[in-house]
This record gives sequence, C-alpha cells and structure tokens, in this order.
Amino acid sequence: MKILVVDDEADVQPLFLQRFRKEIKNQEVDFSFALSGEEALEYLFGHPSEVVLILSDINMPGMSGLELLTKIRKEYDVPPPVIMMVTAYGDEENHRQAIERGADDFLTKPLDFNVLKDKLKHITE
Amino acid sequence: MKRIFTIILFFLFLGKAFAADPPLKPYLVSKDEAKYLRLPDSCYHYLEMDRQRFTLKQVIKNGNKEISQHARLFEMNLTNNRNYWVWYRLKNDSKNAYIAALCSDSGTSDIYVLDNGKWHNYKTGDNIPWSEKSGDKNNNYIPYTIEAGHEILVYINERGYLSSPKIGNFVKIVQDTYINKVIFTSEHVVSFGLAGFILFGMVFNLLFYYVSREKLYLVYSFLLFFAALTIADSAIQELYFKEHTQWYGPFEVFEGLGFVIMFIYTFRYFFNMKDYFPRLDKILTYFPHFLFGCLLIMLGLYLCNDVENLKVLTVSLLILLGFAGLSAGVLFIGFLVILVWVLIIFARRKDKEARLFTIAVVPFFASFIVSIFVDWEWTTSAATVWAILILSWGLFARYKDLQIENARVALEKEEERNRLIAQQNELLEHQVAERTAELEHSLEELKQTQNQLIQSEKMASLGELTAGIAHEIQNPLNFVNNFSDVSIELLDEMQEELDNGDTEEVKAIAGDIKQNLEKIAHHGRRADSIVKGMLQHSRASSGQKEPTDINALADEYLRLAYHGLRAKDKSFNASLVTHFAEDLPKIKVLPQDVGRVLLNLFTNAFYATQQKGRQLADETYKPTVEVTTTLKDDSVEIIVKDNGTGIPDAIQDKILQPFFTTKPTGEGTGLGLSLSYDIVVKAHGGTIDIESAEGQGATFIINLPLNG
Repeated sequence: MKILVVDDEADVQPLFLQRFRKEIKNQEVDFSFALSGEEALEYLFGHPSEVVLILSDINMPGMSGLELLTKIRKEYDVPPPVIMMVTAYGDEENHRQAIERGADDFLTKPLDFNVLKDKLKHITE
Repeated sequence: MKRIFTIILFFLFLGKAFAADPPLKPYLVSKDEAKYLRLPDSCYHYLEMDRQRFTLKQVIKNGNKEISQHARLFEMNLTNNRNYWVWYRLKNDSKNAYIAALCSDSGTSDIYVLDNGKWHNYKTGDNIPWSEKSGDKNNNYIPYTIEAGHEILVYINERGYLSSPKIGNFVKIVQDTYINKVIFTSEHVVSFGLAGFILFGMVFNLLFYYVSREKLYLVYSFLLFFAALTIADSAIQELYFKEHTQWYGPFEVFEGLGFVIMFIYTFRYFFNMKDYFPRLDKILTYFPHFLFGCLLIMLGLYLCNDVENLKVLTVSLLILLGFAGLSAGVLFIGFLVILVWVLIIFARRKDKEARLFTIAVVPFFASFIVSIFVDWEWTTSAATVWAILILSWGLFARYKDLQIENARVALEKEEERNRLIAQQNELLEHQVAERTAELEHSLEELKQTQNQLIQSEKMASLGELTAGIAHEIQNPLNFVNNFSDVSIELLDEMQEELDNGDTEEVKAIAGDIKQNLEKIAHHGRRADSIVKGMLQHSRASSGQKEPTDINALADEYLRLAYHGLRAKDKSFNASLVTHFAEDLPKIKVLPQDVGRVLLNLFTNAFYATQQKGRQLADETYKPTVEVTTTLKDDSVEIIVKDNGTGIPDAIQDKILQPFFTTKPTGEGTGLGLSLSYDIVVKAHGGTIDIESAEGQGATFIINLPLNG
C-alpha cells in the first residue's frame, strides 16, 4: 500500500520509516514523502494511481493541507485516494473544514502510531 | 597913571576879547524860571581842548580866537573824556535878588564866577570828593545869589560829557527836592532792611515747608511775615498809608494779631503741645479764634468810624476797644504764663528745644520792659532779630534732624523692601522647588507609564505569539516523544536480533537508534531555543549587544509571527519567501530588541495580507511575505516585503508615531512601529525606510550598521 505523507517537517520521514519498520520490511506499506502541498500534488500527478492513502498536515507554509485536500478532490478524482488530515489538538475549525472538503479521516497531533496502524488495517481489509 | 593904564589895558583886552566874539548875550533870569533849563545856543561859548590844556587866564585871553560858536553840542560826538571850557553870562533884571543854581553835568566841574569884578571859584561833580565839593553836594550844583540888576560871567571847566550848560532855579529845586519830598530817616531804612532780612527768613522757611511739609515751617514763615510787617511798620505807613490814613489802624491790628496768632501756633508746633500738653494745646487753639473775633469787631468799628452817630459809635468803640484790648491783654498775659510754664517744664526736662526757645524769646519779651528804662530805639528790633535768628537756627537744626530722620526712614523702608523682596524670592524659590518636585514626580510617573506601556506592548505581541509558539514547541516535543518511543521499540527489536545472532541487523538498528537520539537532542534544543526566545522577548532588554545571526533571527521570528497569526485565523495561509544572504556576518545588536522589531514588521505584514485576503475574497490572491537580507558596504539590510493592503499616503508620516494604529480598538497598542523606530534608529544608529503603494503592499527597509 502506497502512502504519501505531506508535512513541512523533514524529520517526519525517518520517524515514519522507523515506526513502520516492520511493515516496510514485510512490504505491507510503502512510504513517499512531500514537504509541501505543492510537492505532494507534483508527486501525485507524477505517479498516477499509485498512492492509496494521503496523510497530510494542515498547518504548512505555502499551500496548506486544506488547499491540498481541495485540489486533490477537485483535480485528482480517479482513483480517489483515502485522505487523512493531521490536525492540532482541539482544532475544531480545521476539523470541520476538512470534513467539508472531503477528508476521509482525522488524526490529531501528536500522532499516535498505534491508532494509525489500526486505521491502516481497516483500509487494507 | 600906571593904574589907569592897566585898567585901560584890561578893558582893551576885554574889549578885544569880546570884540572878536560873536556877541555873547547875557541870559536874563527870573524867579518864574523852570527848575532846570539848558541855555540857548546864543548864550554860551565853549572851547574844547584836544591836546593843549588852557588855564582860565589863557581862555579869557585866547578862547575867543578858538571859538566855534553855533555848534549844536548835543549832536556832537559824545565821549566820556572831553575836556572843555564853557562860559556864559547871567543877568538879573528884577528888583529882588535871584538865586541861580550853576549846575555841573559832568564828573568834574571847576566853576569860576566873575561878579562885580571879583572872581569866585567852586568845585562840584560826581568825581569830586565829598569834602571838596561846594554847594548842594547831593545834586551837584552851586547856588549863587545874583543881586538885583547885577550880571555875572561864569566860566566852567568841564571834564566828562560834552553838553550845553545847565542852570537851575534854586528855590524850585529846594522845594521839589527837599520840602515836598518824602523823607526816609535812617530808622526807616534800618527797619526796612530788617524787614527784608526777616522776609528772606520767611521765604527760606517756606522752602523748608515745601520740602518737609511740616506745618511748623509754614506757621513760622507766617510769623516771620507778620514780624517783618511789624518791624517795618513805620516805613510801610510812610509808603502806603499816607493818603489812606484810616486803614493804618486796621493794618496795625492785623499785623499785631497775625503776629500773636502765628506766635502761638509756632509755639504749639515747636513744642508739639498736642502730644505733650493736650489740654493746654486746646486752650491755645481757642486763642486765635478769640483774637480773630476781636479783630473783626475792631475792624468793623473802625470802618463805621465814617458814618453818622459818630459820638455813640466812638464811645461804644472805645468801650469795645478797651474790652478787646483788655481781653487781648489778659489773653496775652495768660499766654505768657502758659509759655513760661511750658518753658519751665521743658527746661526741667533739660529739653534742648525749650532752651533754644527760651534763649530766643526771652530777650524779645524782656525788651518791652527794658525799652522803658534804656533809651535805645532799637532794643525791641534787636531782640526781634535775635529771636528770629535763634528760632531760625533752631528750625534749621530741626530741619536737619528731620532730613536725617527722613533718610533713616527711607533707608529702613529700603531695607524693609529688600527684606520683602528676599522673602518673596524665597517664597518663589520654594514654589518653584515644589513645582519642580511635582513635575519630576509627574515625569517619573510618565516614565513608569511608558515602561509599562512598552512592557504591555511586549506582552501584547507575546500574546499574539503564544499560539505560534505553542505550535512551534508542539512539533519538536512530538518528535522527541515519537523518536523516544521508536527508539524503545528499536531496542526491543535489537534484543531479538541479538538473540537471533543477526549482527548485521543489530548494527543497522543501532545506527537508527543513534540517529533517533540525535533527532531527540535536536528537537529538544529546538524547543529549548523557542522557549528561550520567548523568555528573552518578554524580558526587558539587557542592553548588551552581542554578535547575532540576523538570518536565524529573521527566520525564527518570521515563523513565530506566521504561526501567531495562524493560531488566531486557521484559514489564513501565506507564502513565506526568504532570500537570506549566505555570507552574512554576525553583527553586534541587541537580539531581543531587533527580534521585536522583526516580529513587529512580520506581524504587520501578515496582518496586511490577511486583511487584503479578506477584502478580495479571491482564491487567486496569494498572500506572500518576503524577507531579504543583504550585506552592504557597512551595514546589513533587511527588507520585509508583503503584498498586503499597503499603507495609504495620508498616514505614512504617522505610522511611526506612538499610539498610532489602524487596527481596531484592542488589537494594537500603536506602539509597535514607534518602538521599532526607537530601537533601530536610536539604539542601533540604523535607518528605517518605508515604501508603500496603497493596495499594492508595503516594503520596510531596515539598515543596521555592521560595527553596531
């Protein structure tokens, strides 16, 4: 399963790689990373139909997570990827907007990787 | 024979003398002649001597030859120093003797009279000593009696003015000059002199009065006036009351009463009776009233003197006069008693003024008694002059004292004034000090308020930052937590692999753990630096400049500002563009202060783009904030550029003023840019420039000098 992680923090990459170390080893998941919304869109259009799940932070300089969400839902429909938005704790406004714009699920910071892994299992089943 | 010859010769000579002359007519005199007259030209001859001097004989002999008869003497050049002979003949045709006055017109006149064959010689004129003068010495003429039917020949040698000869009618002259003329005796002259002397004293005392304004001098000058009138009494009578004799009586009463009244007043003021003897003073004040009453009665009676019923009036007048005189006398004696009494009292006190007054006045009163026994007409006058002199001296001394006293009073006043001024000065200084203290207090309060305002501005900006900071701290903390968790998991796996004996895998895991620990440390430090920055921001400036990386500072605050705004407005998003010069050296600045400036500029920039985004509501609008740092020759340039609402031209001048803000109430303190200006320009010697077009965005250009 191809997962695209969008976050402006570069250190998110080694964290994910280590957290999903076993899954990656067992080739259950495959991660790609983008440091901004723009980069993410570029990757999506560069690798069509590859990405199954997009994990995106909302709070980013330049194109925000919500904009990315909007764009993906408008311009990249087939096949529609599952999009999970990562919001800060208690950020109701973003939560509401993300639902309106067509987000599939939510995660709150700090990320609980066990919850994420559970959600991934549901998606794969 | 010889005698006859001589006589013939003489007559021949005479005949010869007169023969050559134009006939010299004798002037006929009569008793109806005017007092003085000039002889007509035909009646005299004259001979002027320029260089040569002629004796009488020579003139008689030769004068006829030199004669210049009809010249009008008056028209001739009059000089003082003429020496000439003039001669004329006078004839008395009447039956009585006639006394002619042979006058001299010039300073020195030698008069020769040939009468009945006999020569008579006289001298007269102003230049002749009194004892050598003949005739009327005062009026410079010689009275000469011409017997009835006689004729005389007069030769006069004049030295002085040149004039035609003058003769006079002696009887008329005597009548006019002596008999009808008012004669002033030496007594009059002396008394008049005294009166003048006293009047001078009066004027003097009036001047004193004018200067000192003390009544004493006024009444004393009046007293002197009446004294002068009294002393010159007989002279005044001669002069003014000859024709109006009826006024002389009232005048005497007037002057006498005036004298007495003024004497009483002088006495009162001189001894300051009002203070020392108030009762006596009161009695004395009634004196003048009473005396004036008497005066009026007497004057009235006197004036009634002319009307009918003269006898009745005269009787009543006499009675009243007697009564008035008696009462005046009684009063006068009473006054004398008082005077003596007061003098004794003052003398007992060894009063200087009383002694002076006594010395002055006693001879005056004594003189009335003395004059009865001593046959010297000037007794009273002398005593009066004495009294006036002494009193004047006393008053002068008093005046001197008064002046000294006045000077002292003036000095005291001056001192008092100086003291008052000093007091006022002290008061003023005190007030000024008070005001200054108040002002200083106000200033202190103002400074405190300013500090509080600055602090509150800091806090306000801190508040804006809180959310951003929380976000900024949250991220590193998340990493710390996550990497820690992962590392624990990795260690478990490592344990398993060790059990399996897969050393390759163990090494890989160890590498990861090491990397993770580095990440943990990195994010820990990151959080640490954010907290430190926040602390620094809220703290007062340390005032210590330290080498600072402007790029790092700008980056940090850019992010803080961005996240700060985003914390408030989640939907807000902006592009942060940084063009940091890589070769930028560290420059010495106050990091918190410069950080505050940057934060301020960034916050404003984001605010402006946010506002514009709201106004446009256009998806294509991309809020952008650009930061550029450039190394210049001697400074670092920081450009903060946004594409927000921009600054209207109208307020560009004002935005650096304290408390100026375009934000809604409660959102901005209006101190941000003003403080930024202070920090950059005043604290760092840098510059802030603003370029802006309304609706296009704003650019702030900050220059910080390299050498700090």
